[in-house]
Amino acid sequence: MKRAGFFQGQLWLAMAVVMVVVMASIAATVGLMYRAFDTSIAPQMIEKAKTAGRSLNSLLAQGATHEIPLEKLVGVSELFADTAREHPEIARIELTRGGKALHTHGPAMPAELTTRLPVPGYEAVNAELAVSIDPQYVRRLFEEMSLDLLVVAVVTLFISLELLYFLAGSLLADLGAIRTQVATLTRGAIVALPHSTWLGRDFSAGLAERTDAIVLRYQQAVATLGERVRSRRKGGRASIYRAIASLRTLRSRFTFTDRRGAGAPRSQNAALILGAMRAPFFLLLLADDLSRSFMPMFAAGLQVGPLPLSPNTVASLPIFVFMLVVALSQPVLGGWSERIGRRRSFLAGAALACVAHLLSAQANTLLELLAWRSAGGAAWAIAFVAAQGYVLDHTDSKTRTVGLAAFVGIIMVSMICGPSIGGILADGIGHRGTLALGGALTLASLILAWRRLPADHVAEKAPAAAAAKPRLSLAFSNRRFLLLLVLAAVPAKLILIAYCFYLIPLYIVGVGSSSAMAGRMIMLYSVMMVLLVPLMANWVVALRARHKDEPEALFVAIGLALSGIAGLAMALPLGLLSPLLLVLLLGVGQSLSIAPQAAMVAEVCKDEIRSLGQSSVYGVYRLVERMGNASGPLVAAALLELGGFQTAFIAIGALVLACALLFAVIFVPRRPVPVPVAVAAVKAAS
Amino acid sequence: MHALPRKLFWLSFWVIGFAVFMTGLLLYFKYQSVFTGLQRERVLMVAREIDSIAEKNLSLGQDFWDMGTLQDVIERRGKADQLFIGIDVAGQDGKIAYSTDLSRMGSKLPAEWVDALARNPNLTSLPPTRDQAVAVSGIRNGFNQQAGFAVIRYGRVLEHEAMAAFARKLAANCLIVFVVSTLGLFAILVWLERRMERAFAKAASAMGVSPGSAGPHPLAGELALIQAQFDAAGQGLGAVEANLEPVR
Repeated sequence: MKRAGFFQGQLWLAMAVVMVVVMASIAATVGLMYRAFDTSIAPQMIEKAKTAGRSLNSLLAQGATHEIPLEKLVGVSELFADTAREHPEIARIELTRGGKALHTHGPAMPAELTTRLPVPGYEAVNAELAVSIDPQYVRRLFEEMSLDLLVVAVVTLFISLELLYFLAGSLLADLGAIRTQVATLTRGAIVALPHSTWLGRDFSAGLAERTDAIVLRYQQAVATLGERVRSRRKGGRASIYRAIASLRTLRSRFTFTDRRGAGAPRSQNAALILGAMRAPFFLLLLADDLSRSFMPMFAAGLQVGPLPLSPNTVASLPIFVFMLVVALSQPVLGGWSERIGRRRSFLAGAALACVAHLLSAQANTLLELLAWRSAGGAAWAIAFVAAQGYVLDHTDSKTRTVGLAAFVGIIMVSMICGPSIGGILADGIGHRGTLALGGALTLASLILAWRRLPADHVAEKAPAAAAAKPRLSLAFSNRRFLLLLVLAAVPAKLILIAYCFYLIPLYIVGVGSSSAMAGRMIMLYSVMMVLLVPLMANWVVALRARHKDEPEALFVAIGLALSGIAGLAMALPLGLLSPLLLVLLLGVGQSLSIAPQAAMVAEVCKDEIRSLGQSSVYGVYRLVERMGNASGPLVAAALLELGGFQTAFIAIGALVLACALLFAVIFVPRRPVPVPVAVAAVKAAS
Repeated sequence: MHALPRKLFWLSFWVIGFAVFMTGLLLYFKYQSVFTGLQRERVLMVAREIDSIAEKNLSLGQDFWDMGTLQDVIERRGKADQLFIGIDVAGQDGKIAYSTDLSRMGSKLPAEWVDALARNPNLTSLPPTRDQAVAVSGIRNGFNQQAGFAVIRYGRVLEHEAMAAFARKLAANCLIVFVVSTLGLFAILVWLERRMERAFAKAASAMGVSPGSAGPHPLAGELALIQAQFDAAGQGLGAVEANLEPVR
C-alpha cells in the first residue's frame, strides 16, 4: 500500500498544487477587477437612479396639478417600494419637504450615492426626491458570478489534467515506469522492463542494471545446466539433479522472463499511442459538447420555411438527427474504420466535424442545420469508433481495461467541460460564435491527429475477421432480452436525452435564466456520473461477493425508478431548485443502473452469446439503446407541445417509473446466474 | 532551459493561461451585460412612461394621432438624457405620429423593426447597430389591443468607450496575474520535480548506483524489499551455480 502511496501521493500533491494556484489566479483576477467594475458601473447606476427619479417625479407632479399637499398624497410608499423592487440597484427612495423626510423606502445611504431632484410643482415648499443606489449591488453581482467562476475552476482542473497528459505525458510515463519496476521487483518478478528517461533516471537505471545482472546470471546458469544435461556426464548426475532442484526452488519464488510474451511490446506502446489519441479525441468531443446547453434554443430561432412544425419540435430535431445518425452509423463504421485504418478514419471524422461545425454556425434555416448536424453526428461516430479502435488495437488483455477506462474518462471530462463552458461562451459571444469556436477546436483536433497519431500497420495485421453485425431479429427471438431493452435500456436513454439535452436547456432559459445555468446543470449530471458510476459498480460487486446474490436487476429497477421520480420533482414549486433536484436524482438513478444493466445482457442472452458471439448481442443492445437516445427529444417535444414543461417532465418521469415497476415485477424475483458487472460493462463498452 | 523544466513551464503556461483567460472572458461578458442592461432599463423606463401616458390618453377616448400632450412629453424626456438619439411614437403599422425629430413625423419605422414587432409585440429591444441601440414599449388601447409603439433610439458611444476602458484594465490585470501565477506554478512544479528527483537520487545512492549520501528517503521500504529479493535471488542462483561447479 505504501508503495502505491508514494507515487500516487506525488501525483495528488501535483494536482493539489495546480488546483490551489489556479484558484488563486482566478481569485486574484476577480479581486483586481472588482474595483474597476465597481467604479465603472457606479455612474451608470446613478444615471439610472436619476431616470427613475424623473419618472417618479412625473407621477408626483400630478398631485401638484390637483393642488394636493405632499403629505396628503396616498400610495407614495407603495410606489417607492415597487420601484425599488423593480430596480435592484436602487437602495433608497426618499421624498423630503424642506429637508424633512415625508416618505421613505430603504435604509439611509451616503450622500455620494444619492441623486436629488426637485419635485415639479412643489418647488415652493422645497420638495425633493432623493434616490440612492445600493453600494452592495456590484458585490451581489460578483456573488452571482461565483457559480460561473467555480465552473471555470473545475473545468480548468479537468483541462489541466488533459494538458498534463498532452504536455507531460512522458513524465507520467516515467513515473509509471518506475512504479512498475518497483512493484514488479518487490513481487519477485526479476524481468527487464523499460526504464525512465526523464525522471529518476539513475534510480530506474540502477534497478534495471541490478535486474539485468541477475537475469544474466540466471540465463548463464540455465545455459550451463542445459549444456551439462546434454553432455550426459555420468559423474556429475547427482549435482545436476541438485542444480535442477535448486533451480526449481528459485523459479517457484522468482520470475525471470516476461510472460506477457508477444503482448508485451504492444502494451508498452499502448501508453504512447493512447496518449497521442487522447488530445485530438478530447478536442473533437469538446467541440460537440460546447453546443449541448443551447442547441435547442439555437434551432428554435431559425427559419423553418414551409414546414408545418411547432417551435418545440423544431428545437428537438437537431438532437434527434444527431443521435439517429450516431445510432445507425456506428454498427457499420466498425468494419469500415478497421479496413481503411484508424488514423485515416479519425482524420476523416475530424475533417467532417470541422466542416459540420463551421457550417452549423452559418446555418440560417432549420434544414441547413439538420444537414450539418447529421454530418456532425456521422463525424462524431467515425471519430468515436476510430478512437475506440485505437484502444482495442493497441492494448492486450492485461491493459484493455485501463485503456477503455482512459477512453471513457476522455468522454466524461468532455461532458463535464463542454456544456458548462459552452453555456458561458454562448451568453457572451452568442450561439453562432460558440459553434464557430467548436469548428476551430475540431480543426485543432485534425491538426493534432495529423501530426501525432501513429500510422496503422495494416500489412502486419491478420486478415480482419468479419465485423459482427447486430441482428435485430435477436431482440425479438429472446423475450427477456426484448423486455430488458424495452423496459430498461430504451427508457433510461430516452429520459436522459429528453431531460438533459432538450427539456432542461429550454426550461432554464424559459424561466429567465441563462445558457450558462443550463450548462452547469448538464455539467452537474456528468460530474455525478464520473463520481458515482465506479462507486455503484463496486457496490454491486461487493454485494454479490458478500451475499452470494445477484443484485443487478434490483439495481436497474431502483435506478430506473429514481430516474422516473426525478421528473416528478418538477411538480415541486422550488423554482430553479426543481431542475437541480431532477439532475441529482437522475444522476444517482443512471449511475445505479448503467453497469448492472449491461451486465444483465450477458445473463439474459447466454444462449445467443454462445451461438452468435458477444459482439453481436451487445451490438443489438447498443443499437436499440441508442434509438432511445434519438427518440428522447421527439417524445419530449410532443409532450411539451401538448401540455407545457411540467407535463413533459412529469409524463416522461411517470412513463419511466411505470417501466421500472414492470421491470421489477418481471426481473427482480428471478435469480440470474452471476456475471461480473465490471467485466460485462467493459465488454459492453468494447 | 532543460527539456524537463521546459515541459513544466509550458504546462504552467497553458493551465494558468486557460484559467485566467476564461475568468477574464467571464468578467468581460458580465460587465458588458450589466452595463448594457443598466442603459437599456434606463431607456425602457422612459419608453414605458411615454407608453403609459399614451395609454391613459387613449383610455380617455383620445385619438392615437391626436394626443396633444404626448409631443410635449417626448420632447421633454428627449432633452433630459443625453444618451437619447431620438424618441418616436409610431402606430401599429410603423408610421411615426410623434417624434423628437419633427422631420421624422409621418415617415415609417424601418420595415424589419415593424416585422419584428408584429411577430412579437412584447419585444423590449431591437437588434442594435454599431452606433445605436433601440428600446421599445408597446402601447395598448382601452380594449387591450396593440395601438402603437414608443421607440427610443440611444447611442452606443458611451458603451464602446466604457467597454474599451474596462477591457484595457482587464487585459492589464489578467496579464499581471497570468505572469505571476505562471511563474509561481512553474516554480512550485520544478520544486516538486526536484523533490521527487532527490528521493530517487537518495534511493539510487542507497542502492550504490550513484555517489552521494543515501539518508532517509520515501522509497526506503520498497528498496529494502527489493534488496531482499535481489539477495534471495542471488543466493538461489548461487546454490544452482554451486551445484554446477563440481562438474566443470
